[in-house]
Amino acid sequence: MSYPLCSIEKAGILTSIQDLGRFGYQHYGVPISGAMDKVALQIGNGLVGNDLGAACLEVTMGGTTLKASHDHLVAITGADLDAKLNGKKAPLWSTFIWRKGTTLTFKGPVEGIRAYIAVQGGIDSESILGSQSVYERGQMGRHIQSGDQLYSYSNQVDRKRIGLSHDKRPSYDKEVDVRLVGSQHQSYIKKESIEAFFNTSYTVSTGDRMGIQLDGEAMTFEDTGDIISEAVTFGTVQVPSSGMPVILMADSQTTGGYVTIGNIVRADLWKIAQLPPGGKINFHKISHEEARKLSKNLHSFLSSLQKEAKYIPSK
Amino acid sequence: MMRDIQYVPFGENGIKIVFPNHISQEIHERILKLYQSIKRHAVESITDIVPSYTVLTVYFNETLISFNQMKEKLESIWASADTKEETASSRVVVLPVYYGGGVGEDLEKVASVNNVSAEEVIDLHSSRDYLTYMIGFLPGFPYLGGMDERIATPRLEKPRARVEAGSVGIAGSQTGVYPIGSPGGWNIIGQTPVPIVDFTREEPFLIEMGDYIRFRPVQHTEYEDIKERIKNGSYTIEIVDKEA
Repeated sequence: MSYPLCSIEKAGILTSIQDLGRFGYQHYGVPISGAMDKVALQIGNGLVGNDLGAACLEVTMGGTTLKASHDHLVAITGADLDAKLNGKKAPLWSTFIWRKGTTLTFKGPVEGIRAYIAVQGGIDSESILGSQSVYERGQMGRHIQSGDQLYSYSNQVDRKRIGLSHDKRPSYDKEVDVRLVGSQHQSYIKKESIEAFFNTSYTVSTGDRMGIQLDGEAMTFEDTGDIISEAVTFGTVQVPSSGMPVILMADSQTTGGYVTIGNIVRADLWKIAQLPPGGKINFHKISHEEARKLSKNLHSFLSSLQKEAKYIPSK
Repeated sequence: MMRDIQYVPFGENGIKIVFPNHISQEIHERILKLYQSIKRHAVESITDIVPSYTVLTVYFNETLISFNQMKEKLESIWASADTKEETASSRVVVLPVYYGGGVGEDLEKVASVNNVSAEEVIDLHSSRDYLTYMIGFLPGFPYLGGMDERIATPRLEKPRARVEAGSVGIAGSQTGVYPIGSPGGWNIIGQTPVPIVDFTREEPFLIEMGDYIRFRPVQHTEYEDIKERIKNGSYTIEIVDKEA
């Protein structure tokens, strides 16, 4: 069953339906896609009692106005985009009932740049290759437009009113430390450049769901930075001929012909996803074993949310 | 043969099996063989396997298995696959193409750049089978090898804002076909009515790494006829075995 969720009065800068992404199709050139900040998405789903990978609305930067078509239990997680319910501050990181006819607005970034709206039962939309994640360039769905009507799999509002305790909430700083597992291409890059990469800060110049262009110390190559195309993914740091590193994000191409410095660990990708233009990044090198530990810790934290929340089947 | 490959970490959830660093059919066949045998083993913790010209990348669920455990698994799969004599079987996907006309606006340019006639471009382009070395750039986009250098043509100086799905193009000494509409800088010489990607099909992607592509020139009436038959579901895409 499908239930009216909300109408879109103003879509804003970029709003789209995302889940954890599309897996098993990268060999066909299909990116993973899914939420840019998969931690916030999963926390939101945990709070409203969904499967952690259920589809949510990803609101980027704001300028967005949504009107509830029915009472729904929802949670807003991720960035503080100055969310307001009929003009009053909306709760973040906790569940609330979004009453029919009430307007939810996201004015603009206060902290972080991507907010997630999780709805009890999950958002109902077309699934392509096993995922509801919108990837417009690949003609898999389209972004939200003003005038759209959205639906959910449920209109139950029977979940407990719960929230994530303050000490567990991620905070979104304008300067972040991220860890990276080195790639086998580092010998293509001059040693001084690799040192500079780990010892100086880089600034976010521009970015979208495909990638984030950095500004900072330009890298120089031993010979060339062009390689025979091979796999790249969400979190890979590539160095194009300009020498300025690029972080590939959720809608990244699946293969690339530039050398890479390495992959940002999965446990730190959310920090990058929430960084506004002008934000600073300090890179730190770690081993794949350490990165695996971080990932397992994050996984058990997220699984604990699932245990606390009762799973309500969505279809 | 195993000594010339390396296993390197790709983040905490990936492993790259790196072959010698040059494009060749021989390396392609080894990667294809390894790719197919890993797929056959259906290892539960593997989430995706991405072949490319010289590297096979395996993604796995790092909460279930470590790099070293995955490396051991892959090494033993490779050891048993590499000793087997048989080579991977390959298919030829036949794509009817209407060259020139309104759908191949760069055909004349490709001809004049190379001092040949448009008919010769069509002949040279459609007279051999092209090997799919990998898929990338766009969903379903095949990187094809082996085009005749006599029709090589530099990319457009200014990419087009939109190239239609099914467009057959040339960029440098590469040829390819656009699976979906996209901006693009290739010289477009024709169009196939056969959908390369169709999410409503049981197998949404027509072309796999290791497949050969054969372009079969058709006249405008046949092109329109095939288009119609695809629409009403009566067209069967031609796939044949590659003769040894």
